[in-house]
Amino acid sequence: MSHNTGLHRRRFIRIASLSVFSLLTGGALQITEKNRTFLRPPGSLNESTFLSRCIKCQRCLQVCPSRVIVPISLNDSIRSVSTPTLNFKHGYCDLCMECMSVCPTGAIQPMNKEDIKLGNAVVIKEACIAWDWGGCTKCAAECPENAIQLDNEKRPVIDQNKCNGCGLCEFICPSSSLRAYNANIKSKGIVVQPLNHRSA
Amino acid sequence: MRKKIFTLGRIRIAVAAILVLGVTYTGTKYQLDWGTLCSYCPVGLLQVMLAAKTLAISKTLFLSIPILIFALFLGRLFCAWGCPVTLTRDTLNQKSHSGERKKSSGTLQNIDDYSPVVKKGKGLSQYTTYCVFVLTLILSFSLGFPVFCLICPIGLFFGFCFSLWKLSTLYQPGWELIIFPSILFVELFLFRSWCSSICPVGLIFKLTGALGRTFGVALRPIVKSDSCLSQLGSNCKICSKVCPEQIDLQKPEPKLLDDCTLCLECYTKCGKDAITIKPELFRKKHQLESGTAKELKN
Repeated sequence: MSHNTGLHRRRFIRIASLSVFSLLTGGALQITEKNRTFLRPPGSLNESTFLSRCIKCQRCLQVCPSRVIVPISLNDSIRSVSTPTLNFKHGYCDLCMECMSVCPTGAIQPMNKEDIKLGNAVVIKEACIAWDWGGCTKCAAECPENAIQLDNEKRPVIDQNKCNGCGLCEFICPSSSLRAYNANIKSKGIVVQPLNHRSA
Repeated sequence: MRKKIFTLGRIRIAVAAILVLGVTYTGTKYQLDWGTLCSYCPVGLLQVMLAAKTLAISKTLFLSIPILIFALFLGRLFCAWGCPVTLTRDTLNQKSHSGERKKSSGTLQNIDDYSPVVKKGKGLSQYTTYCVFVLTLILSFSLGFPVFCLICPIGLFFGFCFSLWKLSTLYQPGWELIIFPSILFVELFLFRSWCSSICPVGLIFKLTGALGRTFGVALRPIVKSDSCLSQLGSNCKICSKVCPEQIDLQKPEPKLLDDCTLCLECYTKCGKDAITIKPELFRKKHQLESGTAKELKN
């Protein structure tokens, strides 16, 4: 009898400590990553609802014709690892709405094109050719929403009300290739940042 | 079925590879919406319902419910034929999906290489799977995201595959290229009995298969009393020895038989073709009462 109670006690302690450990780890993840935001596919719900629904099935990644959806790496987040984010290296989001139609859990919901705002385009003045040197007007010329205007010195200025974060400007910005000789330039001259983005 | 060019183990590896890697590769390359196996996961469905606190997960229902309906008939078939864990383990020629070491090609001559039937302490491993499952549901509800997906070896396997994809398309390596395989190594080779002690996906398939058994439709290996050597008096125990789940087919207790993954080892290794895979309904037809077979022989 005493042997049995010892076994039961050991089991209970094991299960209890496992539960407490998991709860603390999960809670720590939630707290430390509370304000972390990422670019999400168009039609995504707010971050906490998105994370409660995303099962990392990669269907949105597979159907995206522009190949802008990529999984988040462990470097950027533990809680959000493998969930989809946008990367404008090989394309931009043309709002084809494919990802909305395949998400099985409703983390990405169908939405009207006019209501979609993926993020805000922000000029990185140290990297932008026009701001740092002069002459480049590509983003202002190509923006599908006409959200980028050139000021008196022909430098791009973004109207955040018009920008829907499609990423075309970031995709075509030639800064990273034309200015590759300069190691201080870490990004393109214009990047799309998630809404509620906080500078590190 | 006696003389096969390909061993059963290799056929299982091929099927699992097609299901796991082939589907994912084709879906990614041709921009289809097949997703990974995680799209169909019933445990994922439950976690998301609890984390998002909603029942309105319509598309996942359409993906997971057919899987569960299959499981009524096929039970834990996924564990032997579709799971990346089994694929990894069998490919590396290590332990089979339930932790039992398999040796050589398993021909009848080498049958002694298999460890004898051990009365496994089923109570403990069943207990832990239920605990892990309930813990997963509680944590998903309270923390608000699907927690098991962070450590699920199926999820980690696909996460690793897509991390390789990200590396090949964006030239951006991530820490998960090292950490995911490390966690997989710990789970698959140091834990050994992951499948029978922890995996909630296997648990769901087992429970659904048990439901199918009560309806009589679940496929199970059934011993034909007129052909089986053990039933006719000799001490052949090959089917029980080769079973990775250590099921004793001579004394098939229904609850233990729910662990069957339909790996077909017993079916192919039986020297007398005495095992048939049929729905539970047919069990009475094939099993005479104990002793009757001996009498018939005499």
